[in-house]
Amino acid sequence: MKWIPLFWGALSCILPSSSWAQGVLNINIDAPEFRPMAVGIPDFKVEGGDPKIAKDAAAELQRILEFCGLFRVINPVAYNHIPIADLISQGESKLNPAAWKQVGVETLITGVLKSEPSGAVLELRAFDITKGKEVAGKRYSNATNYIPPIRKFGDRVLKMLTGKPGIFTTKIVFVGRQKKGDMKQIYMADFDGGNLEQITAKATPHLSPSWSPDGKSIVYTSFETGDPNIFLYDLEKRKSRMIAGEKGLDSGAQFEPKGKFMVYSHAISGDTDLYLKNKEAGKALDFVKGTGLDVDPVFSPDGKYLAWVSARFGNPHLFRGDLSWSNGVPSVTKDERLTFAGWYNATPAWSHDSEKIAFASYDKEINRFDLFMMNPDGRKLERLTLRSGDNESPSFAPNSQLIMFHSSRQGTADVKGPASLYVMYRDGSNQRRLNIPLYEAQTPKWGPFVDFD
Amino acid sequence: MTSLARLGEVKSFYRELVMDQSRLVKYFVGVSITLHLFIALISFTNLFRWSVNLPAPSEWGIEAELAFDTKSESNKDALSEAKEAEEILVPKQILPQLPKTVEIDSTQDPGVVKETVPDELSKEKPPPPLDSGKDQEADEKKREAAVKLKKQEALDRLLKEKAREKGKFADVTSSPLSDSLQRRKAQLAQGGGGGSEASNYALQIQRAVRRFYSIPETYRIKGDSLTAQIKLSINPSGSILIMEIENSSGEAGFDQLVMDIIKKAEPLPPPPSELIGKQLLLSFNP
Repeated sequence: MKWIPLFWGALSCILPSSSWAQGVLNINIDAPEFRPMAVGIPDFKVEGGDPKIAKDAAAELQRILEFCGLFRVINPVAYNHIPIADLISQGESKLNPAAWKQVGVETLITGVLKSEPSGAVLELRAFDITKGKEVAGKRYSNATNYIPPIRKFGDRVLKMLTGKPGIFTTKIVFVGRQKKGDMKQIYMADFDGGNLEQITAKATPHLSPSWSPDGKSIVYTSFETGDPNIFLYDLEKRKSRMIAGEKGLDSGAQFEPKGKFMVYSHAISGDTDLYLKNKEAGKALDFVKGTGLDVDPVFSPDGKYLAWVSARFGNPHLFRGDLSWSNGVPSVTKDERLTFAGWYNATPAWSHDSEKIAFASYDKEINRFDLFMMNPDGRKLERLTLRSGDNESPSFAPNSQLIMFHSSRQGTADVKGPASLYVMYRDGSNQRRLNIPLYEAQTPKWGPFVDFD
Repeated sequence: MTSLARLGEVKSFYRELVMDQSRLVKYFVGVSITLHLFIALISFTNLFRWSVNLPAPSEWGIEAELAFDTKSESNKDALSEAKEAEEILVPKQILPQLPKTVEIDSTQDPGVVKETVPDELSKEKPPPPLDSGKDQEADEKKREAAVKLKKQEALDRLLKEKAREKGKFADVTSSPLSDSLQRRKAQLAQGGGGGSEASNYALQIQRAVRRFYSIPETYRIKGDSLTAQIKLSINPSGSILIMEIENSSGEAGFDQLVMDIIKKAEPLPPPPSELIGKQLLLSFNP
């Protein structure tokens, strides 16, 4: 029986430690303050090639990182003295996190321009200073046109830090006019309004452009046949064809998340309802029928709901319908009214995580349309714009962090001037105008992520 | 009878009285008792009471307050005509000395609670008197406990309101307090103390660390599934003894970031006596 004392001895050693563990004091630390991440971009090194390219490339990188609202680039004068030659050539092993922490840099991006027989080469590396590791490193050839490599690298950095793809290679479509009196045409541009490209050039108006989920086609409404019909524009083939041209007025087409069907509003004999149509061919199917105007339909990206504007109770309000799918064909099973306040609620837009709906509402007291955001059940209504002209047609960036819209404000003047495109952070802060060389730009739609490599 | 005869009668009465000792004693005792009874009766009926200049109740109040807070505004109002007395230096030997056997429970020190009590609260309640004579100790302790109870309730209420304003229910700040509240109530009967020190200390640590809890927005987009748990031990001077990752958030950058934040918060509030050496588990969520 000698093992009994041994057993108790062993137990007495275990028991105190277990009670010690039970005695740990638990403290929850939550609700942090969110701030932009501090980024350091030292001057790009030039080992060969035009120094101007290196300088412009660094400037472009800084510009796009600050555009998306998640970063704050620290002035290079604060850290240009820190030697980076070894870091650039050998990477992580030569990283000295302490030096960068001292200047407050959390993410470091280095670049070097080289000249090779094939052409200019840009090598970029990104380091996470807190972790002390290199998180991205890429070599881009044909770097004389430095903009695509910089934007692709920016996307890469965003992906590493947020888990979501970046927005720097995404595109937008919108309606614009070169000068007053012109017909409204469809335009496409980069996420920041650059690289303007005209899609349509007919002598009749064009409206309501929208993207296919794969980003390869655009649908829009055109009056070229006399009455408004829906056209599909193939971005690869650069050709358009009519896909909904029945008698009556067809407009406002939007694709469902799978990209096979699109919903649009069709007006005939005084009633406007929502119809569904396969983009390839086929008959128009009833989707939402009822008294009053039914317009502006948008599918939720997760395929569960349809949001649209209905005037069945008099003033136009937002409604949400539950979707049920059979054989890839959606149908609306029940609907629910989302907005009860406001005189005229219109142009709903879903965030890409299907968690929020942004829309425009007419505020009769100040005679202005303003942007609002709410949960998909109508709760947590928040106002995003005020005293800045008319603001309508919101569209979320594919990472749901930015909202693009059009505003009639002129500078800071709260007036109803010609519309231009604005972008803001999703909480309504930092509203800036996109510099687009057109007299008027309106109804923007932000395209999906562009998948590369 | 003539007055003279009466006088003579009285004279003879007294002569006899003085002669007879026992009768004299009885006489004087009787007179004394009568007089005493008379005076007693009169004092009960307030007939001849001399007017006592009792200080007004507000002035009594001031006397009490002087013991707590010499800078109180209310003092100045009531004693506006009073001149400031010269400072009297009382030799220490004359002051009532606290017997060495009395235990002043340091954890009941209102100073500790005062730190965690928000500003609005500390204005409402003056702290209980700090030195207690031996006789009144039990009463003082009961009073302190009652005040502490009220404070806990008010603190609980205030924190709940603040948490509700933020839109989040800070469960760690209110439930340990309400738990300790119930424990306090139970302990009042026993006349003991302690238990809420842990939750008070947790609050202090939470405040100290949260002041520096500012993280890049990129972590919010990454998702709230990130939770980093850091094991922490603090020495009595407030420096970190041990800090290690108990449960990683899965994101090394976030783990390192929260550890840097804890380091930034040094010197941390030192643990109260019973919690020295006790391990803290800090859970960080974005």
